[in-house]
Amino acid sequence: MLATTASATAATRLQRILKEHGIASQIIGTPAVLSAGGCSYSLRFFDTEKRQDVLRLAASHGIRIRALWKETDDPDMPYVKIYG
Amino acid sequence: MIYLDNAATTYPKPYSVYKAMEYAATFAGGNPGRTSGKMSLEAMKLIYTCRERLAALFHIRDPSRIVFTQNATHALNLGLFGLLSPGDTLLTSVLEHNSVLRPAEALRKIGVYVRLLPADIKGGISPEALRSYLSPPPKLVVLTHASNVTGIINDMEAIGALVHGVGSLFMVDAAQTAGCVPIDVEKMHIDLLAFPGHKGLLGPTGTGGLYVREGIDIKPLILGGTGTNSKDLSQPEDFPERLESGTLNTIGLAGLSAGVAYIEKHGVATIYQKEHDIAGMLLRQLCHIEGVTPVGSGDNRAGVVCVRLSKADYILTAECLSKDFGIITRGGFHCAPLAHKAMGTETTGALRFSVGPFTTMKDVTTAAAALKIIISKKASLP
Repeated sequence: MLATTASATAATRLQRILKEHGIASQIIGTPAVLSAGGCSYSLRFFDTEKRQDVLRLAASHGIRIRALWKETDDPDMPYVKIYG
Repeated sequence: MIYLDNAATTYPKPYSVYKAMEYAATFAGGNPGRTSGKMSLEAMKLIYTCRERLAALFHIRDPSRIVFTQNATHALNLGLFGLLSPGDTLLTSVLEHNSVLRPAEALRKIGVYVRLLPADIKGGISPEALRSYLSPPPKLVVLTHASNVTGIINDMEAIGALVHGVGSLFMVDAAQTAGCVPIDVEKMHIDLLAFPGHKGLLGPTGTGGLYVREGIDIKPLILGGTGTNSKDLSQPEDFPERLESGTLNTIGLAGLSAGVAYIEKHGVATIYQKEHDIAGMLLRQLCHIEGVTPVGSGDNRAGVVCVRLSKADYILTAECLSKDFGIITRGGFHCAPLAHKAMGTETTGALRFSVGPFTTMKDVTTAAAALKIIISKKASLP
């Protein structure tokens, strides 16, 4: 699962808040296919069950998540939007 | 060498600051916030850690509201030019540094009304005097937390409450207090906090920042690349990128972060008490020298001690202290012409000693003794 954010600062801030709540993530550059507005950073999560926790924690700290994407094995549709 | 010019920039820095900068130069050489390579991500991490530490120190809820600048002057300019337009009113004081007075003068020339609060007899700002300047409410009030000439710390909780009470925005110049005097942006009702990284925060030169409270609309001074929304030709709205175009000073900010960590470890209240006690002792010793009188009075002071010399030239005395005794001070006008005018030293200037976290009682005793020798030699000359 990928959460696209507005910036490096937003991604880093969200990663640290999530870590405090036991949710591990990795910062990556947002894949070009998902960055409609140009460059940004995303967080990759391995535990998709935490989706609601991620959205709740981001909202409670005023961090804008642009969209959540599910990663698939389908080369024609590698990402499916699940929020945003 | 005895370094007593910490109000200009602190020296030395904690050893951890030099090590952090070496680490950043070696292992975080990528561009922060521009790519996702390992070194770029490490640079991002170092910079965000610096924001987090500063936010904790100043009681700021959201670290992304801290914008990094080159120094406090840059931060103050960003606040002043970013908020004020022709027809607005700015209230500031005669105790301000030229980092406020010169932008204020430039703003006055384009139609901003500028009002100046007087200093009180001690060399600070009286909340009572401020009250009468708040009607009608100015758009922005900019005041120094502590004068770089008198060293007197203003009561920002009382002042901030008055400013917010009339609905004005409140920007504080923390050039002499950030890192060495406790600051709480909530308790002090601070909307914008401008701070240097290289003074009390113990970072390297070329670092500083501006805290901007959520909900305040501020125009950027510099537009450009932020590593975000690259296809959009408009400046992004998100903080801090909105006000941080161009590549940040990773190495400097890594050093600043280590400086703030040092302050966290030792405690800002402890550092304040130590500097306050040493500056107080220095002041008492200086005032025992014939022909030396303090500029500004009162116990609530930062580590700045400025004195008038009735029998010696300030610049030459500072030079003599440096050359003959290895003691670094600063003589002159300290880029605060109206503060000197208010304190009656506008024609001569004054001699400033400023202590830091590594200054000892022995250092200031040696400095006072050296000044006494210089003055007695001058007095004995024909």
